[in-house]
Amino acid sequence: MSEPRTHLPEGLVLVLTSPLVGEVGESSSRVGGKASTVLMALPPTRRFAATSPTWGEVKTKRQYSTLITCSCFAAALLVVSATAIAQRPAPGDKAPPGSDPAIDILNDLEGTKTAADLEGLRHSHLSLVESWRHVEPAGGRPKESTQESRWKAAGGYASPTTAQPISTLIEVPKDGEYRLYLRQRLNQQQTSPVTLSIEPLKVVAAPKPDDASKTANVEYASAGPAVVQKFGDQRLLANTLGKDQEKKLPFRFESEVQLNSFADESMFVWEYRDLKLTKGPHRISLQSDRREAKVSAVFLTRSKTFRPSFSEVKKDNTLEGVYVRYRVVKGATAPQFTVGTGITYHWPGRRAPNSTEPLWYDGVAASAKVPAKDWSPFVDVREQVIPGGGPWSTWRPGFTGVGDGAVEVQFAWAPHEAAVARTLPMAVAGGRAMFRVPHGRYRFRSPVSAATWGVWDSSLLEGLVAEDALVERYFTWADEATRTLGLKPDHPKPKYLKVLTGCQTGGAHQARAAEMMAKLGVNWIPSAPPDVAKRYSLYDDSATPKIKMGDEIGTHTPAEVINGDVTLRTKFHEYLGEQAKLNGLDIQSFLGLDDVRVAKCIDHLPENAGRFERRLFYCSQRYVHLATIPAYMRGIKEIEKTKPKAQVYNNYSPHPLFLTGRDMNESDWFLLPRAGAQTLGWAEDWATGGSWGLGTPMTECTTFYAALVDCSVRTRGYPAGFYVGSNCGYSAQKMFSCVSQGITILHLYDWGPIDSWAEGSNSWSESKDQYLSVAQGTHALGPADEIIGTGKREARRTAVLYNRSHEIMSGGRVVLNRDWMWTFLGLRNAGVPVDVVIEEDLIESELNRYDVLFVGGLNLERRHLKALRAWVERGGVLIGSAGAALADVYGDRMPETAELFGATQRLATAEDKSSRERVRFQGTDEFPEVELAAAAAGNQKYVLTPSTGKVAAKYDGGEVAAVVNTLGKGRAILLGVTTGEMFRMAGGAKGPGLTWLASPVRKRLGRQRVEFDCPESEVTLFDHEKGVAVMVALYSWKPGELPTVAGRLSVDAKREVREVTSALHGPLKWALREGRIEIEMPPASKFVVDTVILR
Amino acid sequence: MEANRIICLVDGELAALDTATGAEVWRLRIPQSKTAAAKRVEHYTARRDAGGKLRLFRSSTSLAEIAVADGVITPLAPTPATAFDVGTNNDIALVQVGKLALVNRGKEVWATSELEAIVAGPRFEADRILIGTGRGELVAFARADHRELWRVPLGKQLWGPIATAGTLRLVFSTEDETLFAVDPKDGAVKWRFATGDTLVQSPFEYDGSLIVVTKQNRIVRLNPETGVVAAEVQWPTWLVTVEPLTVGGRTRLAVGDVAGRLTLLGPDLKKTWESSLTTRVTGRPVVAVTPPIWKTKSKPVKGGPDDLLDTIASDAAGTKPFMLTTDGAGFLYKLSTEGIK
Repeated sequence: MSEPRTHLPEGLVLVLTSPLVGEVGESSSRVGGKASTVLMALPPTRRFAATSPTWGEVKTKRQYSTLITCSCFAAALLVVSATAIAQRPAPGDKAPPGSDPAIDILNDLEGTKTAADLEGLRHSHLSLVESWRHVEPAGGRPKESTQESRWKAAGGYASPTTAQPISTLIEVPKDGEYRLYLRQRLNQQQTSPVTLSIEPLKVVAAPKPDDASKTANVEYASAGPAVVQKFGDQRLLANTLGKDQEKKLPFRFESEVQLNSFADESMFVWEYRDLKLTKGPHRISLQSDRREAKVSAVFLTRSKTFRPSFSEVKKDNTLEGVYVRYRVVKGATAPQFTVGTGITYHWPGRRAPNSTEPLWYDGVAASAKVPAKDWSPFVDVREQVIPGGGPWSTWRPGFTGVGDGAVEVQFAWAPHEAAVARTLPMAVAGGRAMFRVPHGRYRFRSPVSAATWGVWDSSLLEGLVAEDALVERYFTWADEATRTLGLKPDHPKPKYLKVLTGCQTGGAHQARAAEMMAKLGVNWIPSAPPDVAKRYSLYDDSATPKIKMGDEIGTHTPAEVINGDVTLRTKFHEYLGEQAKLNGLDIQSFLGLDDVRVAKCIDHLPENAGRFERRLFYCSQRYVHLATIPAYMRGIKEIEKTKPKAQVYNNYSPHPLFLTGRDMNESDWFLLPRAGAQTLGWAEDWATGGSWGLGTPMTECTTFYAALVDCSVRTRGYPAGFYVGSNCGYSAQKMFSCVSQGITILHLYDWGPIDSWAEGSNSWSESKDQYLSVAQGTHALGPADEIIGTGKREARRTAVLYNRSHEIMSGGRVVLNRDWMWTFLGLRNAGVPVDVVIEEDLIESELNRYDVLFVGGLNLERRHLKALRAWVERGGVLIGSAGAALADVYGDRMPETAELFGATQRLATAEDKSSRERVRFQGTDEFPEVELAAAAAGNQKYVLTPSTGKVAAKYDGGEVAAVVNTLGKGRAILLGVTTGEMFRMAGGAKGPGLTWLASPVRKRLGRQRVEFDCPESEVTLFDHEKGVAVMVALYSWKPGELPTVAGRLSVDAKREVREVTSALHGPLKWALREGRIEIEMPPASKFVVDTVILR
Repeated sequence: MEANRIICLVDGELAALDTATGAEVWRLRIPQSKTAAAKRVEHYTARRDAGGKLRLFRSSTSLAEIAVADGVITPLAPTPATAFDVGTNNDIALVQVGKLALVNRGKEVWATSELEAIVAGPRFEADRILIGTGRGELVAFARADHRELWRVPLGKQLWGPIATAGTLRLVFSTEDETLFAVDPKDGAVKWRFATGDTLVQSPFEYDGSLIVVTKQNRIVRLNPETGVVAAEVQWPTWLVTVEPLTVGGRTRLAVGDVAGRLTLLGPDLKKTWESSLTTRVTGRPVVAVTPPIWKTKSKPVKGGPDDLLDTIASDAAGTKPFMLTTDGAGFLYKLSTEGIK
């Protein structure tokens, strides 16, 4: 002993119990019974012996108090003795040179633990009291919980709320001596006694062998008397260093700072006892009638020198570490190896301390020059694992000195082989391997229903998976998908249509993964090994490489940039001059400026803007997009210097215009392809079944996105591709949505697999259902691939205007692009081939391609309105939605609009009182007689006052809701409602709005070449010298309600037909009636996509 | 400008500068949260009361008055206001999201129900308060108990303050581009004037007439009783501001435009003097004729209000008249007026 103890802390009580020596009362019931009966049943001990805690005996508090009264010195001896023995190394351990092992408190912190003792870590268990039975969570008791609350958790500890005991179960792995630690908050001024008992149990009912949970139904009964220990009845010593307190009391402090400083007034300390336990299940119970007691954790171990710690100081925290190390099993190519590990995080990324940006990558420091047969040193990776950021991360160790073979990785809770919790073998190829690591703390998290043991919850480590097992699962899913289709392995797959996806597995699995993709119908796999590429005739893009310049780009160059750049500003002034000229004015008249050089590009309109300001604003907003073109033009030229046949593209996202934004004012999808500043059209959908599907059934919005892309490339005849959001589901429908709009490159975004890159939400490799969906899409396209890929899509004689002028000038007043989308989709559901057009298409040559045009938006250029009128007079049917072309692009009213439609229009206001809930159409050829809910985007309905127009509909309040004006050979129809919202609100494809919407089109165009009797669909016809293909895709909010009887597909093939086959269902029944091919289709409930081929 | 203080925005914050030296006397720092997504914005208004005394108001989450001398803030109303007018006896008329409220010393005296958008006014009259609604009506409420005294339909989309033309009140319709002169007693329209565009600023009385400045670059002098045009000038570029000044005992209209031209007009709207700054005039500047005696630089605030003088006035004492102006580079100038006719 280093120093005598001259006094004991007041009220110190030490109660030592052991089933080996003392007597205990009858233990209570199996788990679930009242543990309190155990404690209450303990009889007084008949004998007291001043021995070590290891061999302590049952002693009552009253008896021990008596001892203190009689002989403080004897009591002091007791404590000294107990502490000394507790610190004494086990027989055979070597003490550090020159030190007294009994007093060298800092041994463990200085890394001088003995090897034999640390071997005892192999048998360690950590249990957090917060997760015990009858402890109410810090956030309150879950509603569904029926468990009685006896203690309540609060930020890392739990406190009694009743005097009733709480408990947990442990499975002691081996007979022997253990050190039992209890971490609780101790105080210098008062004690907070807690009674801990350990009761041996026996299993009386085990789970059935076929019970998947294995532990759900385990029942226990007492197997002997409980050992009872009293904790927390000693106070922290004031003005005493931690290390000195450890010499006097059975305490362990948690950090070097605590050991070398005076104790706080109140702090968490590990108090310990040594005891013997028998192998098998035990119940640990805690009871206290002191509500101020704060108990954190129980730690059991066979090591005496290991210092448990939850210290906030990382180097001192011994129980919350995660350690990793590697060993080469096979494939060493040098006497030593070096290993470093790259880590990839997945959605939503990891938040690094003090960072607002998600972290997608991290790494483990390299271990160098490790002898080939040895384990690498343990590396602490807690910061990479515990904070999480998604359920797991992907780890990619890279070895030097290792080729192809096998390696092992070990995860341990402490940097010692006795603390290893999991060993994972895996393949290594070219010195590279991959495995997946689950995130979070691995310790036991919730009340266990069966006895457990360990510092970590082994079930949480199930997420530690090597790449071998991961990809094997994918292969199984792909096999299942193709088997589900029930088609032959040689079923035709797309060749002309390009189906692309990522395939970045490790080298050991690349061939198999590429083969799997090829069998699914993917024909463009950049990483496919050459033999696989050859065997499956995969597409080789080396002749015409696809090169991306920008992703999810915006085309808006802020006014500030333009004003700050002399060249851009000069060009802006030139542009203003051009616009003035286009309007037949000079700058003075157009903008009210005697010197255009003072004009600044502006990003917003002032309140109460004047005419000149509105003109400047509109021109500014057009120019801020035009200003981006030269940079992309230069990009193309640079690329074409080295790759003259490159297809250069930028990817447009639906975010700015539909998801997080509401118009194209930040990102104009049409701009660059129309200007020749990208030579391949491209966009993506991000469409899910939820709000990111814009409320469309089965992500049908993708069809509209694809139509926007088609519109962007149409004038220059560029090809187009699309990131088909397979990661968001509905791959088959999305593939059909794209192909139906002329898109020929389908990048199934993206198989990856998920572990091959960061931001795993982009990957569909983990989506089992998408393997089937992809196979459905490719196999339905495959047999018609040549017809679709090299044939001609049926001409669209109907178009919907995407009105950018409206978005610029009136987008803040009413958002219309979803209305245009619903109009477009409604027409598609009606079997009408339809295009999206933009204002620059409102010229004679382009307009002549169409017979029917839907126009919405409050603004339009006067010259475009003039072109529309001329087109109507030549025979076009124009359908204007609420407020159509009310003003010019500068916000000035246009009387020409009233002349075109034969009516004026005014915005209906709530103060008008008149009812506009319903609208009734009657008395014209253009619309059926029908009454529908009156609906308009933004609920902005207009009241019409006819002049030359004929009333076609009225609101229920009597005001005019629609007029038809005959002009020359055509008709101009004006509605006070909006077409898309009318269609949507009437129930979509299944509602009466479908017929209503398509009525003026059918009136003008007659029967469509394809008619399908299930309106929740889109049909698209392709002509080719080898036949006609009709793509059919189903889009339903309620697929369970799709027809279960055979469907009818009627096709005007315009050729002789000898056979009709379904790509997925084989030959179909058909008949020729009145010049049309009438085909019996499989019930719509039996498929999601299909292609019917008429030859 | 008031006494020896120049009130202006410096880097988007209201400040008082010493007239003689340009030194900052006080400044209202706007606390900005580092974490809040939206920058806190405060709106300032400068008014002169019946006695010609300058009063400063701040509208943010509440309405408050700022003492010109020392920048001390006195709360007037606990709620934000989209528009307000200051009456006698500490009465404040507030427009708050479609309703009109009368507040006195921070306490609400009465409020109308939220019935309609209030887009013009409010304006105190002796016993009533006038407002313009989104439906294009001018409405008079009794000051005592907010009874509706009368309601008159004018034009579509009324907008802005209700200005004075002798005994008449002026209300502007942006959609109709028309200025209405109304008798505040009964709402009767006495005359109307088609402006041809929206207005640059509220019409104001000047030398016995009414000056209307439009965004079509027109400066029009009207007879305030009849609305008949007495004189008119078509400006060659965008007008930034037109201000009445008394310089050396003569009444003038000081005109600033986006081209940096600084012009003085006589009562007949004829040019009496013209010069140019090298950069664009901002806010409400008046002319500079000699190099600046001093200038202070502030950084233009991106996306915020212009660096501008809220109110420009000549030195009433007239012993050593000077003028103030700001420019597009963020400079504030104190200028000699010697040589101006």
